[in-house]
Amino acid sequence: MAVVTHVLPLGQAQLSRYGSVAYADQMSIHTEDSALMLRYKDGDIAAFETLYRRHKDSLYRYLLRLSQNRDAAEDVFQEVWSKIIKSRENYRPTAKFSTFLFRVAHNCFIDYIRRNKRHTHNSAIDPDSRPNPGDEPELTTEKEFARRRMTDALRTLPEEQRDVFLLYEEAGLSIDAIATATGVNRETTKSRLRYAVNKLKLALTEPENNDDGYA
Amino acid sequence: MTNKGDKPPNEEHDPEVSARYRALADETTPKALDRRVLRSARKAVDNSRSTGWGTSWYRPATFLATLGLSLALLLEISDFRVFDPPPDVTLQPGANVFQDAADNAARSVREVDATADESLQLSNGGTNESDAITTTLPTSSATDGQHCSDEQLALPETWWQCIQELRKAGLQAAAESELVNLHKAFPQYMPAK
Repeated sequence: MAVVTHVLPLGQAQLSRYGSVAYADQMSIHTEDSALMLRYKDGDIAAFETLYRRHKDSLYRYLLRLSQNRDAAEDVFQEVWSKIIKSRENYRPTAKFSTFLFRVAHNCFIDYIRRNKRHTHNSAIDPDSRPNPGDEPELTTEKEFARRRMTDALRTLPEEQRDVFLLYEEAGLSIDAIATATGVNRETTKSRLRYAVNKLKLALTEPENNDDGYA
Repeated sequence: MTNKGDKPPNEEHDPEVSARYRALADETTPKALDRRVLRSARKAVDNSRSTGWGTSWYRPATFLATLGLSLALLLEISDFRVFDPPPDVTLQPGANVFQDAADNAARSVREVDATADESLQLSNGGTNESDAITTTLPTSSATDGQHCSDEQLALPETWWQCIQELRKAGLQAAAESELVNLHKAFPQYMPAK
């Protein structure tokens, strides 16, 4: 098996993780991810399955929240993994695998939006806001209501700010990694994340609005 | 999803917002989607394995085939000598091309004159029959040793008749020459007496 010798840039490591234990754990995960990808490159299916299970849910949630459309999220999700699978021959562990994965996801989503001009952030197709008649009683629970508020708050964000927030929270990327994944500079990334967090905080602390009839 | 506290404290990070998001972000991928992705990953590896086996013998086989064809072509070219090399037509120093051409032309004129004299002799001193012979004998063939026409040479009877006429005309040498040729061409032929 190929030996992974990649070392994160010091600045990025300091920005993303603080504390020696967390840093070491993350380095271990990073090395393991890259090693798994290299093992898959050599034909080890089990390595890919491990890698997939490790990142699939966060990637799925990222795309689901970003697109606000379950079908779109599933299409892009499958496309992202197809690209990862195809790129295994040329894979080099020059960055964290999660950075690589979410950069591919970001680009795939942008391509998807360009291909599907009809894509709109319509709340009617939002799986989190679409009421299921059979679940009406459950929607009144506190958790479902909180989920709805978060979803609505995310929907109010501009796409770029939502993208940065999700990459930060869901993918766990650092500011620099998000800047790399989205193709913008570090200051713009920081600014977008700051705006996103402030808007979400404001939306979540506003008095509850029961006009939608679900409360 | 990241764990709480593994990010540096900064103004872009709000623990409350982060906690509320994480508490609610519990969606997982559909099982069908998992199966599709894992199946495609497995299929890609299987394809690359089969392709890898294919390319493992393809390159050496291509190299050997190219080498073999090149050697065969080289051997074929080295044995393929149909035409002799062209003669050396370079002029030797002192050779006179125009003089050689003039000599050849003079030789041709002399031969034509000899034929003309023979024809004139036949027309002046011959009988009516000799006149007929003169008309039937090709003048140009005398120079080639053929004294009878091609039509007469077609059958032994007509050829023999031509020889008889040559003898009657006094052309004994020509008649003997034609007789020899007749025996060569038709060895079984016996002229009627």
